Amino acid sequence: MNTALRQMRVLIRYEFSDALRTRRVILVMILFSATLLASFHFSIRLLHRMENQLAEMMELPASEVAGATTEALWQSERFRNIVERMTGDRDVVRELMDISPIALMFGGLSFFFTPLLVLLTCAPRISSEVSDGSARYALVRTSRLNWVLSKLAGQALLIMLALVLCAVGAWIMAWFQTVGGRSFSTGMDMLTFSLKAWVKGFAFLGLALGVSQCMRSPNLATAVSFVAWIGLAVLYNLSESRVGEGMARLWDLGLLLTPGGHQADLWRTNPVWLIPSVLYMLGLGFLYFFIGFIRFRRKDL
Amino acid sequence: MTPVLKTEGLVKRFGRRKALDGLTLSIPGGTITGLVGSNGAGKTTLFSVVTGILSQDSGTIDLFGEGPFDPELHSGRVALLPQDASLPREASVKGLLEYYAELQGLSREEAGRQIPEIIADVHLTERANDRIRSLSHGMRKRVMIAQALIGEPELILLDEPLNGLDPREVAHMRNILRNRKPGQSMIISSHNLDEIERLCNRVIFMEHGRLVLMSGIRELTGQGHLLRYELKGTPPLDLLRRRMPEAEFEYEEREGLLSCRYSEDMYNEAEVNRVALRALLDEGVDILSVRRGSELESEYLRRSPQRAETGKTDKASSGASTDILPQAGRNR
Repeated sequence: MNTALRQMRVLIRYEFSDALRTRRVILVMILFSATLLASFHFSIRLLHRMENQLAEMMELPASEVAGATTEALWQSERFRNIVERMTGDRDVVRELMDISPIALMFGGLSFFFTPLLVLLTCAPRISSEVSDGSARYALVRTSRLNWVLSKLAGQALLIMLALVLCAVGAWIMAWFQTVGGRSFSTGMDMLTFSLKAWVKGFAFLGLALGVSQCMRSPNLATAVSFVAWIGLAVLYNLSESRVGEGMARLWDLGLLLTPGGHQADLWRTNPVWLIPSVLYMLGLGFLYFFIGFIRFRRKDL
Repeated sequence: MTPVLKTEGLVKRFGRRKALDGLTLSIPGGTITGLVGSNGAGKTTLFSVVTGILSQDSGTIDLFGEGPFDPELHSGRVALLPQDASLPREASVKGLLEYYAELQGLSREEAGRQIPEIIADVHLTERANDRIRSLSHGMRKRVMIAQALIGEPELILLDEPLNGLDPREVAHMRNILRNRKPGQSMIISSHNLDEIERLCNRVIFMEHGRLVLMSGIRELTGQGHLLRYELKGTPPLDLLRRRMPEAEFEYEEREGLLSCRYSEDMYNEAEVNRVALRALLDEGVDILSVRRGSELESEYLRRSPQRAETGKTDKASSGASTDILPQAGRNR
């Protein structure tokens, strides 16, 4: 056990330093921040426009900075509908009324983009080293399980770092561009959402690395990961629409085994809903990952 | 001595093709064994199966009498230089070797002591902090050799280790490999038979995934009991036989080669040379060269691959006197 832990520590450290050396970490950061922060910026502008339209309707002077009428907007049914569409659950919206709408906006964007970015950056991680043979140097020194688990841990830490930095970047952006962003609680809410997005991302990281363990070509691994993602989304939507009584209860399995089935509860602040959702997401990540490992364990490299 | 590696009936299939076809062999500890065979003979597959990179379809592998390769158990004790694997391009030479050293269990202090020595051994001290991608092909090969030497493993598997090195580096690497730690074993796969002959004390011939022959090089090539003279002129065979009645003389007229087989119990090399050379010079025969034993290449060509295909390898036809194990026929 000690040997395995020691080897994993060495492997994770190498994974991190390799990411720095290869500038892969920069690529991940740029991808995450460009996608999340740019879309956040445009969302703030959209919010600002909506605020001004609302002010115009109410014959009030337009605000220079977004967020001046957010509180009023936040109470409006129209805005509730928008958030409801983003989260897909009215109960969740009500529970989230305590959270800054700017932070919620960041949460929605990070929930939406994280799976995409995770699949894009992580799917080739294992298959690329298997295909160029460099994995062999490590695999005569450590077990396959240690090696792939270290990849999982290394990538998970890297994504967490990217999301936390994005949250900080988004908070700074919100600070200068919105009224509601100028509070510590908004920053903390954004940070919380970045961690929740990481939890959701972990399920997709497991999926990406699970696929990567089965593929020899990095490009194929990325493509198959996306196909698997679409497959899970289709399964979730089918399950959600068909679940019912009797045999239709079996569709519950579809909800249980797809990230979509647990995503709504990640919006909750109540731990009764939040904790099981977090555990399910992490569990799904490990499940997808170890399904890949069953193949990788005996695979000819 | 306990074998460092034993395989029994090892089979590995790629689709319908058998890359290893019931391979049974045993490598004694403390030896340098050359693995020789034509392309597709199964040499690289054997290394990959032994180190767990590939899984065998059937048969058994036993390392150090402890069972098959287990990375937890054998980490740092078995090293591999794969033939066709790239090194991580962005790592520095020193950083990469330190990473491998720590991964196989060397302490930082021990790695810090060993790695600079190994880097100096492979003549890369000045490039120690350079990234792998900036190195030439030959330099990368030297890094690959270096990684296999970390921690003085008990068994080192080297697949074409000297390929791509310049002649000076080949000679240098040969010295490094020869000056191994006592008790350390190496298996070197190579197409360069001259290299195998210079480096190894044992040799294995493989064809079509089967063992053709396994022997000491000295016994196989007849070093110690065979001298060959390249002549210009006809040798006085009667005179030679009279002067050394216990030795056997044969003359191949077409190639101008005189072979003298003798028993080490009766004569030594110097005695044979003294008598034979004197007799030849007395009779006015010009001597162009003298060679100890036959060349490994000629032994390989004699025994492989036709012998493997017909399964007719046998002790009588081999002319060698030791542990040559005809197996090709058995494996069919």
